[in-house]
Parts: sequence; C-alpha cells; structure tokens
Amino acid sequence: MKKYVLLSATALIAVGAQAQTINYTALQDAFGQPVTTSATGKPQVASDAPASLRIISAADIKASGLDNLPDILSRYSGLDVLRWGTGAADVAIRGYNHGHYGRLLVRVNGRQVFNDHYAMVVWNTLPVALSEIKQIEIVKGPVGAIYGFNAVAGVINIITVNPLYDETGTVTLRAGNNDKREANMVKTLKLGDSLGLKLSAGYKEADEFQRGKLTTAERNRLRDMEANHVSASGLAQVADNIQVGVELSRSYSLQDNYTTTNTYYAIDYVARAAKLDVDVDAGNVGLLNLSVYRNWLDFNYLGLGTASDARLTVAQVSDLIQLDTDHTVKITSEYRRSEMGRWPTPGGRISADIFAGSLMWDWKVSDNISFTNAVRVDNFNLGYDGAAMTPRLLSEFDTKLTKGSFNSGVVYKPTSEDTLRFTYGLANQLPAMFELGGFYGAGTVGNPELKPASITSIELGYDHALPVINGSFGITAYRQQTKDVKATTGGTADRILVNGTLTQTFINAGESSSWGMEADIRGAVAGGFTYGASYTWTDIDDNLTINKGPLPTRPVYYEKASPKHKLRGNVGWTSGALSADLGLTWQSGRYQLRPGAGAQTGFLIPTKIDSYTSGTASVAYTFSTGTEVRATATDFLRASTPTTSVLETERRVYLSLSQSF
Amino acid sequence: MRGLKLSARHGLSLAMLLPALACADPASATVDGPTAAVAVKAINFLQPKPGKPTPITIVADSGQSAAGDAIKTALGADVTATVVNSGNDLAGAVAVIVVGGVDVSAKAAAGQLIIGDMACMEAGKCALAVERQASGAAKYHVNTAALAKAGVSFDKNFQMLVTAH
Repeated sequence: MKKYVLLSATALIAVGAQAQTINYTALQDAFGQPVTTSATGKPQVASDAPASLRIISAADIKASGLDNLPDILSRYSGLDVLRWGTGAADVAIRGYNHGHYGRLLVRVNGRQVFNDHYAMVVWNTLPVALSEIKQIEIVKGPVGAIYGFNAVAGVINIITVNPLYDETGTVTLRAGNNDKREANMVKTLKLGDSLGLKLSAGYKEADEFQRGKLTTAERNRLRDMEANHVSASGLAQVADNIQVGVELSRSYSLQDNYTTTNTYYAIDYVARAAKLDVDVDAGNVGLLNLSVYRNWLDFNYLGLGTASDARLTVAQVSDLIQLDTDHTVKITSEYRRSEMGRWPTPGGRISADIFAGSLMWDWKVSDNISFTNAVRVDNFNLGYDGAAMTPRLLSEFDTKLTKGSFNSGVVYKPTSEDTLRFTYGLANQLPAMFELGGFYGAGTVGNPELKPASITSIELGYDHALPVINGSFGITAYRQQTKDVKATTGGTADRILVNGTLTQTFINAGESSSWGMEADIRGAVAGGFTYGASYTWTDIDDNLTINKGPLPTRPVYYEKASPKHKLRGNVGWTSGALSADLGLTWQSGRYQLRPGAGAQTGFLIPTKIDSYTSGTASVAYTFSTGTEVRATATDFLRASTPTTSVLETERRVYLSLSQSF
Repeated sequence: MRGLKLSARHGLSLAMLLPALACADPASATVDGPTAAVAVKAINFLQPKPGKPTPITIVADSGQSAAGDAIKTALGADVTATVVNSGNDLAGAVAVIVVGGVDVSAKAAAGQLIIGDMACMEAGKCALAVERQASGAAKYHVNTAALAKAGVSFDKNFQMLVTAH
C-alpha cells in the first residue's frame, strides 16, 4: 500500500512539475555516474542497465583529440571500424563489418540517422560537431524490442547538450596534412528560464588517401572529401509540465564509399531532417512523449551519373509510467514510412509502411536485483508505385509480414562493487529498400520477398569496481546467431529464375553464428594519469547456402572478414593546463573480398589484410582565456597502414585551435 | 511468433531464479560533510524547483555542533546553510539535514525535505538518505511514506533512479 503513496503525492503536485526531458548533466553529477535510457527506454544509472553498455563522455571525446566519430568509436571494445577513405568509414559492433554495414542502428537525440535506403550510416552526414556531444551511449547486442528493426548488432545513441539545461559555446579550427581544413562552431543560448536554443555548423575537407591497391577505374572515381552541416534546435518549457523541442538540420558529404559490390564509388549525399518533440509530465499517467520527424536524403553516384532520393517519416508516441516503486512500464506505438526512388534506373518508387507497438516492463525485484523484459511487434507493408520492373510482377510488391522482437535481462549486484548481468535478445534486420526493389538495373532487380534476417543473442557480463585504482574491470561473453543472412547480388553464375527469366537478385543465404568476448579495464592513478585497456575476441562461423565453389561469387564472407583478436590500450595525462593522450591498437589479420580479373572475372577473391598495430596521440595546452591548442596524430606509426585491402589509412597530423565563449 | 514463445520461456526461467538471488541490505550511511554535499544535489530535482541559493537548515544534537559545522563547510555555493539545535524553528528552509538521532519530523513544515542517515530514513523520520559507494557512485534512498507526509515530490526522471523504501 505504502508504495502507492509516493505516486499519489506526485499526481497532486504534477501541476508544478518541470524537467520532462532528462537533464543528463545534473543526474550524472548527483549519481556519480552517467545516466542512460538506451538499454530500456527508462532512465537508469549506467551500472543498472541490463545490457553491455559503454558511455563515452564529452571529456573522453575531448581527451582523445580525434576529429571524427568513427575514429573515436574505434577505441572501444567490441567495435570494429573499416576506414575506406578520409571521409567514409563503416562502424560495426561484434563483427560482420563490410562496406555499407547495416546491422547497427545509430540515432542522434532519438532521431534515426541510419539510412533505410541502403541500410547504412553515412557518418559524415551526422549534423553534429564533436564539441556539442554530451555523451555517446553504445549498447552492444540486439535491442530490437526497444528500437525496432535494424538494432541487431546494437545501437549507438548520440546525445547532444540540451539548450535548456546546458550552456556551451565553442569555435574550433583545424588544419593538417592531406590538405585538411576544418571549422566548426556550437553555441547555446538561454532566453529566460523557459527557452533554450542551440546552433551548430561546420565545414571540413581533406584530400583522399592515395596509397593502396585500386583498379584504374576505381582510382579514377575517387574524389577528395568535403562535408558540411548546419543544425538549429530549440527546447521550450511551454507550461509547467510541458516541453516542446524542435530540431532542423542539413548536412552534405562528398566521400568515397566502398560499397557492397566491393568497389569504390564517389557519392555525394545531402541529408535534411526536421523533428518535433513534445514531452508532458502527465502526473500518474506518466511521462508522455510525442516525437515526429522526417529525414530526407539525396544521393548521387558521381562515377555512374545516377542519383535518387530516400525519405523516412516517423511518428512515435510513448508513455513511461512508474506503476509503483518496483515496477516501471513503457508503452510505445510507432508509425514509420520509408520510401526510395528507384535506382539507378528511375521510373518508380518503393515504400514500406510499418506499424509497431512495444511494451517494456522493468521490475526491481529487490534492492540488488532487477529484471527487465521488452517485446515489440512490427507490421511491415511493402508498396511500389511506378513502371514495371520486369521480370518482377507488380503484385509481388504487395508484401506484408509481422515480426516480433524480444529483450530480457537480469542485473544482480551482490555487492556495491560487483554487477552480474544476463541478457537475451531477439531482433530483426530488415532488408534495405535497395534490396527489396529500390535497385533496378540491367539484368538485376530487387527482391520484394527477401526476408528480414533474425538475430538472437545470449550474453553474460560481469563488472567489478576497483576503487583502489579509481577504476573498474568488466568482461562480457556472448553467443549470437543470425538466420536468413542477406546476400547481395553476385555474378552471372548466381542468376536465378525470376518469373521465368534468369536474373541477378538478392536472396537469403543461410546462417551465421558467433562467439565473442570483450574485456575492459580502466582507471586513474596519482599524478594525473588515466589508463584503459581492452581485449576483444570475435569468432564467426558461416553456414551459408551460397559460395560453395572454390571462390566466392556473392559478397558474403563474414567468418574470415572479422579480426579474431583486438587489443587496445590508452594512457592519458593531465597536469594543469597541459594534457596528453596516447592510444595503441593491435588487431589480427582479416580477409576482404575483391573482384577478380582475367580468368577470375565473376569471382570474388579473398584478400588478406595482415595484422597491424596503429596508434593515435594528442597533446593539448589550454590557456586561462579558454583557448585550447592541440596537436593530434592518427595512425602515426607509419606513413600508411593497410587497414583494408584497398585504400591504406594514411598518417594524419593536424593542429586544432578551440576557443570557448 | 515461434521465436517469441521461445523468448517468453527464457524470460519465465529467469523470473524463477530471481527470488533465490535476492539478498543483502545496503550498507548503512552516516551523514558527514561529503555525504551531505551529495544529498543536497537532490534539491535540484524537487518539484517545484526551488530558487538558488537554496536555504538549508542543519539540525545538530547537543555535542554534535562540530559535525554540523563540518557539513555546512562541505556544502557548495548553491545553498545557504545554517546550523541550529533541535529546539530551533525550521521555517524558511527548503531542506533540513539531521545530524545524529534528532527527530524533526513532527515540526518540519509542509514541503520540507528532511535528509538524514540510513537509520533515520528507514525509521521514517527522514525522507532521504544517501549511500556513497567506494566507486564514487551515489545511491539515493527515499522513504515514500515520509515523502508523502511532507508533500515532497521529485522530478520523475530522478524518481525512477532512487531506491524507495
């Protein structure tokens, strides 16, 4: 009975309530550790989250001295980055990385920046300057019941400063080798107690890497990287219990992507987005959120001279209710529509309407045990409008399916320093719009009957705080299985009969499973030193129905494409105004597919990328005026490192000048 | 749907394990300067939000005035603290920090947040106590009956992060 008293009291006072959105800064200051909603949708301190979670703070980002998100993410266990050029990179969690990696959902302030059209993230188009990021929350493992399709390897939530709670102003200028130039600015502005505004803008350019084994055709398609962004957002306290937020952004990137067909294309992207959020503290009805946004993406393959566009519209309503002191539920309903103009042969438009509902239930079993379950059901309806896509029949695009996702986790804290975590996840990887029929070219057509891949994961984690070193140790082991692996089109040998015509198309191609382990230790010692080290083990076993010949013909080659071992370490040091950071990574060899030539035309050649060590270093001095001068070197151990089988990652050295205001 | 059924079975299996794992009471906490400095951060989440600097009264038993002064010194600039003995009036304070075994629950005004040690909170004489952990993290414990009686309410996001008794 007494458990309900607090809720009743809250309801009575709800009229005077404030702060419907989370004040991450104040909560972290109070609880002495970061607060997140990424694992369950409800606020939790990081150590309570029923997931393998890593939070990268603004201080971590600054200390790294790095200038882009993929390089920053590459410092953490379980993450694998394939850098294709100065602008393009794919970031994977727990293996399976390749060009246009599609298993990782990425969001900025709750807005999906994962592109449905090709199931990929174009990191350069994220309309965010590093200096405005409050924290990056990395959830490893499937979280489909919280986020829906495509959160199968995990989710990365990027949270920027909140203009109603946080105040920041920074201008940064960078210049370096490879003709690198960059300028960006972030400024928040408080207009009274009820309105906060944030403006962010940036521009960067750099020459493309030059060294590496590319064909003449590929090399001729390369362009130097150029990107820019501008975003404006505002959050208003329109009533004591209501906040309204608006975000508008536009970004551009010209970059050289290594695509699923294992070749380079220079692509320019223009991404635009508009988002509206309404948050209401509705007393004992809960915390209500309405979020509506639209993403527009125009893309142009410069080497092919073909362009198209994609659009995503999402409307989501959720209610987070604390039923009593031990039980919290979150109910969410969502509608989303994804569209894509047919490419590279225009003349039609493919679309998908998805209706989804989800329920999360968090049960605090006792003071040291919590048990969380979440279930989500997605109803998917494919549609096509336009000219015929011979040999496909238009009736084949009338595809409907319903998929369920599930997450369950127990967190047990036997002492204040020990946390045990057991989780289970089932999520679904929706095929890209491109694969379902957005692609239509000579002899090749999408497959509207392509099934979502289904990913299950079981995971055991243990974290131990180490006060004696002012740090912590953590280890996580998992088993993951993927059914109905998607396979991109192969060569003419892979043609199949589609309504009586031999055609290249996308298919489901069997299973793949993996074991993995991630271990981390980090701490701080006297003298201003911090340190961290991690080991990642990934062992993938493919059981495919394709590529049975001596050489692969379809570009699916996961088991040898992920490095089995990765070791990372970093040391930081701060003394007054001076700070420095050194990071080293060693990873074992891996293979990558390259198109065959001559007698091997039509085949894909597994190409060895040897094991390598790479390093980043940064040193900074901050003046009393708030001016920071910083020098950073990435991949500095040699002039260029073959991190892929194509363009080598060249040493980049740059100077940054930042001024706070 | 077959996957969902399988998943539900996994969930039920986990649920059956839970009662066996439940144990261990939190370590008892004592209100000293550093603990009080963490505890008063809860004031930032009071609804409605009080203005700054926030007036706080520290109530110390006779013979505990040095402890009261130490707490006053440890608090930040966001609060203005006064040390009094238990006979004094508490009017005007947004929060009251209780040192030792003093019981001010009967004389606290409506809306006043009473902060004390774990024993005080568990007895319902205080509404909030803080347990500081060796890792540097803090755990906020609240007595729901004491909060309701005082008419004190927190921001919902904060409320979902505290341990309720």
